[in-house]
Amino acid sequence: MSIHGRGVDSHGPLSGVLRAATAPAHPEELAGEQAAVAAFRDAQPAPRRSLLARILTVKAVVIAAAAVSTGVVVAATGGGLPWPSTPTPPPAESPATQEPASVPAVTQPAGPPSTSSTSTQEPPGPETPPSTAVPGGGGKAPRSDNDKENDKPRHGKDEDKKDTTVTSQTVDPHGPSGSTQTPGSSARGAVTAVPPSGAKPPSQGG
Amino acid sequence: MLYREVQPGLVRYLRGLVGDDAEDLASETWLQIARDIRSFRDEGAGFRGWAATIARHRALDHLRRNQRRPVAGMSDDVLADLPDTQDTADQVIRIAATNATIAFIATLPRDQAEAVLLRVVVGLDAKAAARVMGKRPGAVRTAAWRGLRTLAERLEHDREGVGVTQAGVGTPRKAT
Repeated sequence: MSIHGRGVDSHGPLSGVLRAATAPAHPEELAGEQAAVAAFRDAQPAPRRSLLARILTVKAVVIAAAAVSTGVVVAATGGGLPWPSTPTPPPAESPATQEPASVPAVTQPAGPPSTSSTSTQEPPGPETPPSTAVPGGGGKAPRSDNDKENDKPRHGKDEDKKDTTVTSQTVDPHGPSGSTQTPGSSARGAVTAVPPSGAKPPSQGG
Repeated sequence: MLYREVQPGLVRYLRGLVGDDAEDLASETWLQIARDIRSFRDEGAGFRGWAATIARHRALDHLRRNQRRPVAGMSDDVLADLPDTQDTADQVIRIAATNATIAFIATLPRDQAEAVLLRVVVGLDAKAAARVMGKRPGAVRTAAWRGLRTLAERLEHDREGVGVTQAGVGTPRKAT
Protein backbone atom coordinates (compact mmCIF):
# COMPACT_ATOMS: atom_id res chain seq x y z
CA MET A 1 0.00 0.00 0.00
CA SER A 2 1.31 3.42 -0.81
CA ILE A 3 0.71 4.59 2.68
CA HIS A 4 3.25 2.16 3.89
CA GLY A 5 5.92 3.61 1.69
CA ARG A 6 5.64 7.05 3.23
CA GLY A 7 7.68 6.45 6.29
CA VAL A 8 5.42 3.98 8.10
CA ASP A 9 7.08 0.70 8.85
CA SER A 10 5.27 -1.95 6.88
CA HIS A 11 7.03 -4.80 8.63
CA GLY A 12 6.42 -3.68 12.17
CA PRO A 13 3.49 -4.36 14.42
CA LEU A 14 1.38 -1.95 12.41
CA SER A 15 1.28 -4.38 9.52
CA GLY A 16 -0.62 -6.87 11.63
CA VAL A 17 -3.11 -4.21 12.59
CA LEU A 18 -3.71 -3.20 9.00
CA ARG A 19 -4.08 -6.79 7.89
CA ALA A 20 -6.67 -7.37 10.58
CA ALA A 21 -8.50 -4.22 9.51
CA THR A 22 -8.59 -5.36 5.88
CA ALA A 23 -9.32 -9.00 6.56
CA PRO A 24 -11.85 -10.78 4.34
CA ALA A 25 -15.46 -10.41 5.16
CA HIS A 26 -16.71 -12.32 8.14
CA PRO A 27 -20.08 -14.06 7.92
CA GLU A 28 -21.40 -11.83 10.67
CA GLU A 29 -20.67 -8.79 8.59
CA LEU A 30 -22.72 -10.11 5.70
CA ALA A 31 -25.77 -10.92 7.76
CA GLY A 32 -27.78 -8.15 6.13
CA GLU A 33 -27.24 -9.37 2.60
CA GLN A 34 -30.74 -10.72 2.14
CA ALA A 35 -32.28 -7.52 3.39
CA ALA A 36 -30.14 -5.50 1.01
CA VAL A 37 -31.07 -7.73 -1.92
CA ALA A 38 -34.73 -7.40 -1.03
CA ALA A 39 -34.35 -3.64 -0.85
CA PHE A 40 -32.79 -3.57 -4.31
CA ARG A 41 -35.56 -5.73 -5.70
CA ASP A 42 -38.21 -3.52 -4.21
CA ALA A 43 -36.52 -0.47 -5.64
CA GLN A 44 -36.44 -1.91 -9.15
CA PRO A 45 -38.47 0.16 -11.60
CA ALA A 46 -41.57 -1.32 -13.07
CA PRO A 47 -41.07 -3.24 -16.30
CA ARG A 48 -41.41 -1.16 -19.40
CA ARG A 49 -43.82 -3.56 -20.97
CA SER A 50 -46.32 -3.15 -18.21
CA LEU A 51 -46.15 0.60 -18.62
CA LEU A 52 -46.73 0.25 -22.34
CA ALA A 53 -49.60 -2.12 -21.73
CA ARG A 54 -51.10 0.36 -19.33
CA ILE A 55 -50.90 3.14 -21.89
CA LEU A 56 -52.43 0.95 -24.57
CA THR A 57 -55.20 -0.07 -22.25
CA VAL A 58 -56.03 3.54 -21.50
CA LYS A 59 -56.02 4.36 -25.20
CA ALA A 60 -58.27 1.44 -25.99
CA VAL A 61 -60.73 2.49 -23.32
CA VAL A 62 -60.77 6.07 -24.58
CA ILE A 63 -61.29 4.99 -28.19
CA ALA A 64 -64.05 2.60 -27.22
CA ALA A 65 -65.81 5.27 -25.19
CA ALA A 66 -65.55 7.75 -28.04
CA ALA A 67 -66.88 5.23 -30.54
CA VAL A 68 -69.81 4.32 -28.36
CA SER A 69 -70.73 7.92 -27.67
CA THR A 70 -70.42 8.85 -31.35
CA GLY A 71 -72.61 5.94 -32.36
CA VAL A 72 -75.25 6.91 -29.89
CA VAL A 73 -75.27 10.48 -31.11
CA VAL A 74 -75.47 9.45 -34.74
CA ALA A 75 -78.22 7.00 -34.07
CA ALA A 76 -80.15 9.54 -32.08
CA THR A 77 -79.88 12.25 -34.70
CA GLY A 78 -80.66 9.86 -37.53
CA GLY A 79 -83.80 8.59 -35.94
CA GLY A 80 -82.50 5.14 -35.45
CA LEU A 81 -83.31 5.07 -31.83
CA PRO A 82 -86.88 4.62 -30.65
CA TRP A 83 -87.74 7.50 -28.48
CA PRO A 84 -89.95 6.60 -25.60
CA SER A 85 -91.78 9.91 -25.77
CA THR A 86 -93.06 9.25 -29.27
CA PRO A 87 -95.53 6.41 -29.40
CA THR A 88 -94.97 4.14 -32.30
CA PRO A 89 -98.14 3.74 -34.27
CA PRO A 90 -99.12 0.32 -35.39
CA PRO A 91 -98.32 -0.55 -38.97
CA ALA A 92 -101.88 -0.19 -40.03
CA GLU A 93 -102.10 3.31 -38.64
CA SER A 94 -99.12 5.04 -40.03
CA PRO A 95 -99.41 8.76 -40.48
CA ALA A 96 -100.10 8.51 -44.14
CA THR A 97 -102.31 10.54 -46.29
CA GLN A 98 -105.54 8.93 -45.51
CA GLU A 99 -108.74 10.65 -45.49
CA PRO A 100 -111.92 9.63 -43.88
CA ALA A 101 -114.17 7.35 -45.75
CA SER A 102 -116.56 10.10 -46.43
CA VAL A 103 -114.02 11.83 -48.57
CA PRO A 104 -114.19 10.79 -52.15
CA ALA A 105 -111.59 8.42 -53.25
CA VAL A 106 -108.53 9.54 -55.05
CA THR A 107 -107.53 7.63 -58.02
CA GLN A 108 -103.99 6.71 -58.62
CA PRO A 109 -102.55 8.50 -61.54
CA ALA A 110 -100.79 5.52 -62.99
CA GLY A 111 -103.21 2.96 -61.85
CA PRO A 112 -105.31 0.85 -64.08
CA PRO A 113 -108.92 1.48 -64.55
CA SER A 114 -110.30 1.06 -61.15
CA THR A 115 -113.36 -0.91 -60.53
CA SER A 116 -114.02 0.90 -57.37
CA SER A 117 -114.91 4.47 -57.12
CA THR A 118 -114.01 4.94 -53.49
CA SER A 119 -110.50 3.82 -53.02
CA THR A 120 -107.49 5.59 -51.79
CA GLN A 121 -104.17 4.36 -52.87
CA GLU A 122 -100.76 4.82 -51.44
CA PRO A 123 -97.68 4.98 -53.55
CA PRO A 124 -96.48 1.68 -54.83
CA GLY A 125 -95.17 -0.63 -52.18
CA PRO A 126 -94.99 -4.13 -53.41
CA GLU A 127 -92.91 -5.28 -50.50
CA THR A 128 -95.21 -3.99 -47.87
CA PRO A 129 -97.61 -6.54 -46.56
CA PRO A 130 -101.22 -5.75 -46.69
CA SER A 131 -102.39 -3.87 -43.74
CA THR A 132 -106.02 -4.35 -44.02
CA ALA A 133 -108.31 -6.68 -45.74
CA VAL A 134 -111.28 -5.80 -47.61
CA PRO A 135 -114.43 -6.63 -45.77
CA GLY A 136 -116.00 -9.58 -47.18
CA GLY A 137 -112.97 -10.84 -48.90
CA GLY A 138 -113.26 -8.54 -51.81
CA GLY A 139 -113.36 -9.38 -55.39
CA LYS A 140 -110.68 -10.55 -57.62
CA ALA A 141 -109.17 -8.26 -60.11
CA PRO A 142 -109.23 -9.16 -63.70
CA ARG A 143 -106.28 -11.23 -64.53
CA SER A 144 -105.68 -9.62 -67.79
CA ASP A 145 -105.22 -6.18 -66.34
CA ASN A 146 -102.75 -7.31 -63.77
CA ASP A 147 -100.63 -9.13 -66.28
CA LYS A 148 -100.39 -6.15 -68.38
CA GLU A 149 -99.41 -3.70 -65.75
CA ASN A 150 -97.24 -5.79 -63.59
CA ASP A 151 -93.63 -5.74 -64.68
CA LYS A 152 -92.37 -7.58 -61.61
CA PRO A 153 -92.63 -11.26 -62.23
CA ARG A 154 -91.49 -12.21 -58.75
CA HIS A 155 -94.84 -11.37 -57.29
CA GLY A 156 -96.64 -14.07 -59.11
CA LYS A 157 -100.02 -15.27 -58.07
CA ASP A 158 -99.53 -14.49 -54.47
CA GLU A 159 -99.05 -10.92 -55.28
CA ASP A 160 -102.07 -11.02 -57.44
CA LYS A 161 -104.05 -12.42 -54.62
CA LYS A 162 -102.86 -9.71 -52.37
CA ASP A 163 -103.77 -7.18 -54.91
CA THR A 164 -107.18 -8.49 -55.17
CA THR A 165 -107.73 -8.39 -51.49
CA VAL A 166 -105.64 -5.53 -50.35
CA THR A 167 -106.65 -2.07 -50.92
CA SER A 168 -106.51 1.11 -49.15
CA GLN A 169 -108.48 1.18 -46.04
CA THR A 170 -109.83 3.86 -43.94
CA VAL A 171 -109.19 2.81 -40.47
CA ASP A 172 -110.73 5.19 -38.13
CA PRO A 173 -111.79 8.59 -39.09
CA HIS A 174 -111.89 9.65 -35.47
CA GLY A 175 -108.55 8.22 -34.53
CA PRO A 176 -105.41 10.16 -33.98
CA SER A 177 -103.86 9.21 -37.24
CA GLY A 178 -106.57 7.91 -39.40
CA SER A 179 -104.20 6.51 -41.87
CA THR A 180 -103.98 3.37 -43.83
CA GLN A 181 -101.02 1.48 -45.03
CA THR A 182 -101.73 0.34 -48.51
CA PRO A 183 -99.50 -2.20 -50.04
CA GLY A 184 -99.38 -3.55 -53.44
CA SER A 185 -98.66 -1.99 -56.70
CA SER A 186 -100.53 0.98 -57.82
CA ALA A 187 -101.75 -0.83 -60.86
CA ARG A 188 -103.73 -3.28 -58.89
CA GLY A 189 -104.55 -1.41 -55.78
CA ALA A 190 -107.83 0.19 -56.31
CA VAL A 191 -110.03 -2.79 -56.65
CA THR A 192 -112.08 -2.66 -53.51
CA ALA A 193 -114.23 -0.23 -51.89
CA VAL A 194 -113.61 1.47 -48.66
CA PRO A 195 -115.89 0.41 -45.88
CA PRO A 196 -118.32 2.82 -44.54
CA SER A 197 -117.25 5.53 -42.32
CA GLY A 198 -116.69 4.53 -38.75
CA ALA A 199 -116.13 0.95 -39.60
CA LYS A 200 -113.71 -0.92 -37.55
CA PRO A 201 -110.59 -1.86 -39.37
CA PRO A 202 -110.47 -5.50 -40.13
CA SER A 203 -107.77 -7.64 -38.84
CA GLN A 204 -104.69 -8.14 -40.85
CA GLY A 205 -103.90 -11.24 -42.68
CA GLY A 206 -107.13 -11.62 -44.57
CA MET B 1 -21.69 -9.38 -5.72
CA LEU B 2 -21.49 -5.69 -5.05
CA TYR B 3 -22.72 -6.08 -1.52
CA ARG B 4 -20.01 -8.55 -0.58
CA GLU B 5 -17.36 -6.30 -2.04
CA VAL B 6 -18.46 -3.12 -0.33
CA GLN B 7 -20.13 -4.21 2.87
CA PRO B 8 -17.03 -5.28 4.91
CA GLY B 9 -15.23 -2.00 4.45
CA LEU B 10 -18.43 -0.05 4.93
CA VAL B 11 -19.39 -1.67 8.20
CA ARG B 12 -15.85 -1.34 9.52
CA TYR B 13 -15.75 2.29 8.56
CA LEU B 14 -19.03 2.78 10.41
CA ARG B 15 -17.68 0.84 13.35
CA GLY B 16 -14.80 3.26 13.57
CA LEU B 17 -17.25 6.16 13.59
CA VAL B 18 -20.12 4.99 15.77
CA GLY B 19 -18.98 1.78 17.46
CA ASP B 20 -21.43 -1.01 18.08
CA ASP B 21 -24.26 0.64 16.17
CA ALA B 22 -22.42 0.10 12.91
CA GLU B 23 -24.49 -2.90 11.87
CA ASP B 24 -27.76 -1.02 12.10
CA LEU B 25 -26.37 2.00 10.33
CA ALA B 26 -24.98 -0.23 7.59
CA SER B 27 -28.42 -1.70 7.03
CA GLU B 28 -29.94 1.76 6.83
CA THR B 29 -27.20 2.78 4.44
CA TRP B 30 -27.96 -0.08 2.09
CA LEU B 31 -31.63 0.74 2.16
CA GLN B 32 -30.84 4.27 1.10
CA ILE B 33 -28.43 3.01 -1.54
CA ALA B 34 -31.12 0.76 -3.00
CA ARG B 35 -33.59 3.63 -2.97
CA ASP B 36 -31.27 6.17 -4.56
CA ILE B 37 -29.27 3.91 -6.84
CA ARG B 38 -30.89 5.42 -9.94
CA SER B 39 -29.66 8.85 -8.98
CA PHE B 40 -26.08 7.66 -8.56
CA ARG B 41 -23.57 9.56 -10.69
CA ASP B 42 -19.91 8.72 -10.52
CA GLU B 43 -18.23 11.99 -9.63
CA GLY B 44 -14.77 10.54 -9.14
CA ALA B 45 -15.18 8.56 -5.96
CA GLY B 46 -16.96 5.63 -7.56
CA PHE B 47 -19.61 3.53 -5.98
CA ARG B 48 -17.55 2.89 -2.89
CA GLY B 49 -17.12 6.58 -2.34
CA TRP B 50 -20.81 7.21 -2.86
CA ALA B 51 -21.73 4.47 -0.42
CA ALA B 52 -19.19 5.79 2.07
CA THR B 53 -20.66 9.27 1.75
CA ILE B 54 -24.12 7.96 2.55
CA ALA B 55 -22.77 5.96 5.46
CA ARG B 56 -20.88 9.00 6.74
CA HIS B 57 -23.98 11.14 6.72
CA ARG B 58 -25.84 8.46 8.59
CA ALA B 59 -23.07 8.17 11.11
CA LEU B 60 -22.85 11.90 11.70
CA ASP B 61 -26.58 12.10 12.25
CA HIS B 62 -26.31 9.21 14.65
CA LEU B 63 -23.51 10.89 16.56
CA ARG B 64 -25.41 14.12 16.76
CA ARG B 65 -28.31 12.31 18.31
CA ASN B 66 -26.24 10.36 20.79
CA GLN B 67 -23.35 12.77 21.38
CA ARG B 68 -20.79 10.12 21.98
CA ARG B 69 -17.75 8.60 20.40
CA PRO B 70 -16.84 4.93 20.22
CA VAL B 71 -14.41 3.52 22.74
CA ALA B 72 -11.74 0.97 22.19
CA GLY B 73 -12.79 -2.59 22.91
CA MET B 74 -9.29 -3.84 23.63
CA SER B 75 -6.15 -2.44 25.05
CA ASP B 76 -3.21 -1.56 22.90
CA ASP B 77 -1.25 -4.40 24.52
CA VAL B 78 -3.45 -6.93 22.76
CA LEU B 79 -3.04 -5.19 19.43
CA ALA B 80 0.74 -5.06 19.82
CA ASP B 81 0.98 -8.84 19.73
CA LEU B 82 -1.80 -9.35 17.18
CA PRO B 83 -1.09 -12.54 15.23
CA ASP B 84 -1.15 -12.69 11.48
CA THR B 85 -4.56 -13.50 10.02
CA GLN B 86 -2.97 -16.13 7.84
CA ASP B 87 -2.07 -18.10 10.89
CA THR B 88 -5.28 -17.57 12.81
CA ALA B 89 -7.62 -20.49 12.62
CA ASP B 90 -10.27 -19.43 15.04
CA GLN B 91 -12.85 -17.27 13.38
CA VAL B 92 -13.96 -15.71 16.60
CA ILE B 93 -10.48 -14.50 17.26
CA ARG B 94 -10.29 -12.99 13.80
CA ILE B 95 -13.54 -11.15 14.25
CA ALA B 96 -12.40 -9.89 17.61
CA ALA B 97 -9.07 -8.87 16.13
CA THR B 98 -10.77 -6.97 13.32
CA ASN B 99 -13.10 -5.19 15.68
CA ALA B 100 -10.26 -4.42 18.07
CA THR B 101 -8.21 -3.02 15.22
CA ILE B 102 -11.03 -0.75 14.10
CA ALA B 103 -11.56 0.39 17.65
CA PHE B 104 -7.86 1.06 17.97
CA ILE B 105 -7.90 3.20 14.84
CA ALA B 106 -10.92 5.03 16.20
CA THR B 107 -8.86 6.27 19.13
CA LEU B 108 -7.04 8.61 16.77
CA PRO B 109 -8.18 12.17 16.30
CA ARG B 110 -11.34 12.32 14.27
CA ASP B 111 -9.96 13.40 10.89
CA GLN B 112 -6.95 11.06 11.15
CA ALA B 113 -9.08 8.07 12.07
CA GLU B 114 -11.50 8.78 9.27
CA ALA B 115 -8.73 9.23 6.75
CA VAL B 116 -7.11 5.95 7.75
CA LEU B 117 -10.40 4.09 7.65
CA LEU B 118 -11.37 5.43 4.24
CA ARG B 119 -7.98 4.81 2.69
CA VAL B 120 -7.01 1.52 4.33
CA VAL B 121 -10.29 -0.17 5.25
CA VAL B 122 -12.68 1.07 2.59
CA GLY B 123 -9.95 1.17 -0.04
CA LEU B 124 -10.45 4.65 -1.47
CA ASP B 125 -7.64 6.71 -2.94
CA ALA B 126 -6.80 10.13 -1.58
CA LYS B 127 -9.02 11.95 -4.05
CA ALA B 128 -12.08 9.82 -3.38
CA ALA B 129 -11.54 9.96 0.36
CA ALA B 130 -11.24 13.73 0.11
CA ARG B 131 -14.60 13.89 -1.66
CA VAL B 132 -16.18 11.83 1.06
CA MET B 133 -14.72 13.92 3.83
CA GLY B 134 -15.20 17.21 2.08
CA LYS B 135 -11.51 18.09 2.22
CA ARG B 136 -8.64 18.47 -0.17
CA PRO B 137 -6.70 15.37 -1.18
CA GLY B 138 -3.50 16.75 0.30
CA ALA B 139 -5.16 17.20 3.67
CA VAL B 140 -6.44 13.66 3.56
CA ARG B 141 -3.02 12.29 2.70
CA THR B 142 -1.48 14.16 5.58
CA ALA B 143 -4.15 13.05 8.02
CA ALA B 144 -3.80 9.43 6.99
CA TRP B 145 -0.03 9.50 7.25
CA ARG B 146 -0.15 11.11 10.69
CA GLY B 147 -2.73 8.63 11.86
CA LEU B 148 -0.71 5.64 10.79
CA ARG B 149 2.38 7.12 12.27
CA THR B 150 0.62 7.62 15.55
CA LEU B 151 -0.63 4.05 15.56
CA ALA B 152 2.85 2.72 14.84
CA GLU B 153 4.35 4.80 17.65
CA ARG B 154 1.76 3.57 20.09
CA LEU B 155 2.40 0.00 19.19
CA GLU B 156 6.15 0.45 19.46
CA HIS B 157 5.74 2.21 22.76
CA ASP B 158 3.61 -0.61 24.10
CA ARG B 159 6.12 -3.20 22.98
CA GLU B 160 8.98 -1.29 24.49
CA GLY B 161 7.02 -0.83 27.64
CA VAL B 162 6.33 -4.51 27.87
CA GLY B 163 9.92 -5.33 27.09
CA VAL B 164 11.22 -2.89 29.66
CA THR B 165 8.88 -4.27 32.21
CA GLN B 166 9.88 -7.78 31.49
CA ALA B 167 13.56 -6.80 31.46
CA GLY B 168 13.14 -4.97 34.73
CA VAL B 169 11.50 -7.94 36.29
CA GLY B 170 14.14 -10.30 35.04
CA THR B 171 17.11 -8.12 35.94
CA PRO B 172 18.32 -8.52 39.41
CA ARG B 173 18.31 -5.26 41.28
CA LYS B 174 21.71 -4.17 42.48
CA ALA B 175 22.02 -3.13 45.99
CA THR B 176 23.29 0.30 46.53
